[in-house]
Amino acid sequence: MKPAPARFSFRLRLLVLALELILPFGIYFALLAGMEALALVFFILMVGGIVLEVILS
Amino acid sequence: MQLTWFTWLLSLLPVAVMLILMLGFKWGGMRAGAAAWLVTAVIAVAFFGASWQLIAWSQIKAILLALDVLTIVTFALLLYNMANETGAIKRIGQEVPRLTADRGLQVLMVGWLLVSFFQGMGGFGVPMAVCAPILVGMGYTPVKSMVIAAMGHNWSVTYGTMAAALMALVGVTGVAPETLAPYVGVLLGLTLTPTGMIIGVLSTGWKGMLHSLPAIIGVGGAIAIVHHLMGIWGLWTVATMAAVLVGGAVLILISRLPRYRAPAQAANLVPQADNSNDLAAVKAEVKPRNFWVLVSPYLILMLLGFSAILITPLRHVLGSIRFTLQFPEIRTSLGWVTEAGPGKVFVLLSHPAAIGAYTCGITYLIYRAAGYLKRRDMPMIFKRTLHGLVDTSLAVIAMVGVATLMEHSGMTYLLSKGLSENLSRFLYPFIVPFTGLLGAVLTGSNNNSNVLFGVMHMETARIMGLSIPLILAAQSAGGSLGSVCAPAKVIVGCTTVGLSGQEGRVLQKLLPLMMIPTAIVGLAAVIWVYLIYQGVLP
Repeated sequence: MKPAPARFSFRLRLLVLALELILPFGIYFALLAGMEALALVFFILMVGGIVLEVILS
Repeated sequence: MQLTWFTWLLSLLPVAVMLILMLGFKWGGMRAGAAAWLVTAVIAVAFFGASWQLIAWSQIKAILLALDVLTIVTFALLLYNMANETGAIKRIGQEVPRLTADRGLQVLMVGWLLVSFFQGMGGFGVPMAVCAPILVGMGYTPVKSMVIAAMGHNWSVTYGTMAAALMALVGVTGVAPETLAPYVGVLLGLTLTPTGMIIGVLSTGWKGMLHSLPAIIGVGGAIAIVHHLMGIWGLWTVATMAAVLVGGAVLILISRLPRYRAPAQAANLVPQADNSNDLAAVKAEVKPRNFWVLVSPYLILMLLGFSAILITPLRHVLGSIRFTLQFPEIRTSLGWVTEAGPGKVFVLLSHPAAIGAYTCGITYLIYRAAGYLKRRDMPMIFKRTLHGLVDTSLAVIAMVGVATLMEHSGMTYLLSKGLSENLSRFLYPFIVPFTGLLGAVLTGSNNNSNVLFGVMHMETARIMGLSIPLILAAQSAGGSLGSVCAPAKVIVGCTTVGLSGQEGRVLQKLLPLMMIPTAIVGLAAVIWVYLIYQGVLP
């Protein structure tokens, strides 16, 4: 019997990892530049990635 | 933020959620860490006055701390996969146990000494990642192999990885390492023989352990003495490796006693769970490979590690390029303040990850020249490394994120304050190593545990009139013991013995066992405090 495909594929995990590594730096520079709205967008994306980790793992 | 039972329990919740999900629900570290992060964020906003900006700043700091670990793990795993591809790991598994014919001593050699030696060099789960498969190769189950490998190097973390944890404690408390070292050496030294006994019972049963007991006492004593002396002499960065080398020499000498001259029991090389190097192993059997060339990556790692520490001009050159980010003051609406300052400072050229990168480069050239590795092997090695890293990285990021968010929202402070305020002067030293253990389990490192709890313990010790270096040493010793139980590290080891996603099974066995050396450290601290109180000790 073929194993069921992983719900949280390797590529998706890799994408989430890349976002979680890059987005905080985006937030850092956005906050330093006073661009709070942009920082908030990055922050929501980052939290979204963490939520994905929980519900799709 | 006022300390009440409610706020204390809230502060405990992130830790509890993570442990319950991992131990009770058998979730992997990535998923449990992410869930705990979300729980921590909700509690921080709802009850501790955190804003989204505070969470964001905290997560940026967490990424810097996580990168510090993950860059090292990246090159350690790459080095491991290169060595594995050539059959080196399997060969070490065959050769190291052959140094002695006695089965009990073979396990001590791998599961106590070799694993600690790797902690001296690098740490971050790599000792388990390297030694657990060797123990599997000797015929132990993957779970038991992981537990033995983790227990075996519990004493070696504070001075291991170039004494990073000790220096972290020194950095946050301002207490001189020379003041801390005598206490650290004694407290960790006391755990050595009991740890050896636990490994003996796990691997060969009670009868086997009693057979190995003279060796355990001899080796444990030798390691404890050398570890302590190296600390006193200021050679913290190489103390673990030097102690293990002396311990290994003592073990080989003891193995020559008639008691241990049993007929040779060759390692039972059952197929490893990670059988990706089968082809390499077959090739190795067809054409014998030179042992010293095979193990050269670890010799080079040692050489470069020693050189970066001991050759002063080289140390100055390598230490010249630094990188960090500056952070503003961060404040919750309830008044908990994290002062402005730099985040994690990276010394780029002498960072253990850089040493790992140099080693990987040299190893590639040596293996290529010897014909053990071909260019076409590298894509598969990189792919295997990447596959091993993704889940580990996500887990480490989430867990360090939980720790930094707890710290920035005041949860860590409340958690520890609650513990210290409700305990007597003589009970508090007993609890300190358990908080060190808790911090290390949570954050994944002795280093981070010391950063989290160091200042709090120092202040509490000052208020209670206790010896500050003793209490800090007990914290760091507990952190050392807890560090090897950290899910973030256990995950790394599990990937190499086919237990990915089953870290909970290892933790279920490991954590109760780790209470024994932690209690020993706690009791020793209590007795020490009592002797100081009675005027017997200064």
